[in-house]
Amino acid sequence: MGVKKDIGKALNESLKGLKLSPDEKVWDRIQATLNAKKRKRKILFWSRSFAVGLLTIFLCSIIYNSLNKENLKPEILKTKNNSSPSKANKIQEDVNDIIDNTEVNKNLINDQSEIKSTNKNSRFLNKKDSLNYILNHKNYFKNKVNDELINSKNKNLTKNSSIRNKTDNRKINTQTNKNSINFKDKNNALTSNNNSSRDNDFKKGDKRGITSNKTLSNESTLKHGNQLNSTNKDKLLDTLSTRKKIKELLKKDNIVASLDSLNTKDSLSTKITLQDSILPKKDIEKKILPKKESFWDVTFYVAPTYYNTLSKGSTFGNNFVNHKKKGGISLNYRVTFDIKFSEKLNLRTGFGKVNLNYTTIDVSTTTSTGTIPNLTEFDGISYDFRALENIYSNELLEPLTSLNFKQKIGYFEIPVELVYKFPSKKLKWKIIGGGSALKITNNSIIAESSNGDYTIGKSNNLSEYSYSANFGGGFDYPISKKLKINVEPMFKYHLKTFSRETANFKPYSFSIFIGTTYKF
Amino acid sequence: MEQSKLIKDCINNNRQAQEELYFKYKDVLFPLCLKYCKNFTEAEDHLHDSFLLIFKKINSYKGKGSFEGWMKRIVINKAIDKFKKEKKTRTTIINDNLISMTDTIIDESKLNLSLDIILSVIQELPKQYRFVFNLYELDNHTHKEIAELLDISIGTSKSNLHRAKVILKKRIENIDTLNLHNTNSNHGS
Repeated sequence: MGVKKDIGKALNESLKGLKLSPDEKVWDRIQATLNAKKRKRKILFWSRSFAVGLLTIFLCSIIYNSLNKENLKPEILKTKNNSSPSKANKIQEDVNDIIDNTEVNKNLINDQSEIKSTNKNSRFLNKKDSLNYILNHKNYFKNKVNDELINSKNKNLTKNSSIRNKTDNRKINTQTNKNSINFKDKNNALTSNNNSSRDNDFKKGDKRGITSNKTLSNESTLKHGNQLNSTNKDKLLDTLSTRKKIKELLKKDNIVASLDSLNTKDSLSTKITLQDSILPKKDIEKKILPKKESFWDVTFYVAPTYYNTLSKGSTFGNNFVNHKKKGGISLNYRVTFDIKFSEKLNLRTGFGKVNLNYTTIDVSTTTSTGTIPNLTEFDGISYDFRALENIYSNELLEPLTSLNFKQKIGYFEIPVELVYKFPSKKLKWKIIGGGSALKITNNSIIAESSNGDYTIGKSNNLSEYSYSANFGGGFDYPISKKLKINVEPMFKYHLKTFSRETANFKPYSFSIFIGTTYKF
Repeated sequence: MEQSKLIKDCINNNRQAQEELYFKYKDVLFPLCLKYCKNFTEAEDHLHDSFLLIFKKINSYKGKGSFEGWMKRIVINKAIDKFKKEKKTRTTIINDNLISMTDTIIDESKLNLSLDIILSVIQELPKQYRFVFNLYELDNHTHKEIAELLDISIGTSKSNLHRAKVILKKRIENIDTLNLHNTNSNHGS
């Protein structure tokens, strides 16, 4: 019989002499994995850089476009206003040429000279010019519309247009004196005398049943009617009433709508010029240019945020699973840009600063020195030995056996979220879903005691890059056309927070984002 | 190369330094892997994974304490992490017929076995028993520490250790009996 021993101790002694080597190939495998990881890191770096680059370009293009739009708006108007007079001038010249060749024109000149002789009539003259201008444009415009309508074989529209033309002419006729019949003849003569292409345009108008000549005759009739009137006052009243009538007709005229449907530059500029002569500029902008709503806005948020775990685990590692913990509240900040997809759907991106904290309570420490707690026994912590030296040398901590460890984590955040807005008038309710990419910016562990709080190091298992899945809701409250207030409670489930498995710690944060939106 | 320089070079991902570190410590860490794994192949895999983790985490070693001890802790913690991952899906059926035995004292002469056999006897233990036995008997952890590491109660740790010892004793005695029987039959022939 030999010596009796506990089997555990006996086996321990036996195994102390165990010397076995792994296969040589193990190092080759390690090397291969390290090389693959290096390649992966490179790919990850470039893909992240590419993504950040794309995002930057995207944001820059949005900002550039929106700024350009702001600058472009008056330019468009300016261009249109510039282009239309040239066209208008051309038409005016054409009509003037025609008028010059007629007696009507002579009469009109006489008439205008008569008008000029009175104070009141100086205003009338301008209006008269304006009226001519309007009428000319209207005729030209109607011809153009009809050309396009006929080409597009839109019979109904053509009919309507013809009817409208006729109706318009009838209405204009009622405003003129009875001598218009004579002038119709004269106008026919005028048509035959003019062989230029612009005359052909008018002829075409005749052929199509569009009463361009009739309209011209109306104009002439109107002018002549003015001439025939015995007093300037009467002329003025007549002209003003005609002008008013035409203005009403133009307003009612569906040709503007037809033009919108044709959507050509010429027609749009003509339209602007046409109405510009009658309506104030503001009205033109309101009527002709569609109301352009900005497709993006910027929001500045501040959010009290609560951070905790959905499970029982610990951020420090397995040793702390059974310790009591408590979540902490800290302030987060965010700037986001909302890009409008539609009335209901927005894409949101931006950047933010995420601050989180979490406390492990009553961390047991062994008092190896006998005077102060031994802080260096926890594997999950990379210690700041200078700070520890300071704590130890100055005996800053009492000889306690337990402390609270507060972990502070900071991230730079890039959120990408979709915002769905429910249609409503005042409070705009919305739901939000998406995710955030997080880059760690702060990682510190603070030992809290009754004597004070001391940073002892940082967690060694936090990933440099992590993600969160974001879900939330909230509402907007507009305080002006440009400004609104937002309240958005949001839940974030954090993913890939730890570089190695950490005792089943499943972090989440709950924030109430309160923000102000500026709409561009 | 000096150890501190070697570590510094490894932090900078110097492949030559990493290779040197591996060949310097592989024979120290591999027996540890063998004790926590159920066979040679699994131990090699575990050594591979542990060294990758060592290279990844080497910057967190601040020079406090033994570097070899730090690496051993990584090997053990890695084994525990794997064990806990598997534990979530694993249901171990343990034959408790032997538990009635309370005596874990063995005659030292019965341990005159080759190290390979002793190692295989430990490797054949049910996984949780093997971890508790290794951590307590071979790596000097307390039951409280084991309970925290393996997410079990202190009572379970104690019970597992006892059962592991009982199983080991029984198997070693059986091997001894078998050897004795073989020797006698050889003499008889």
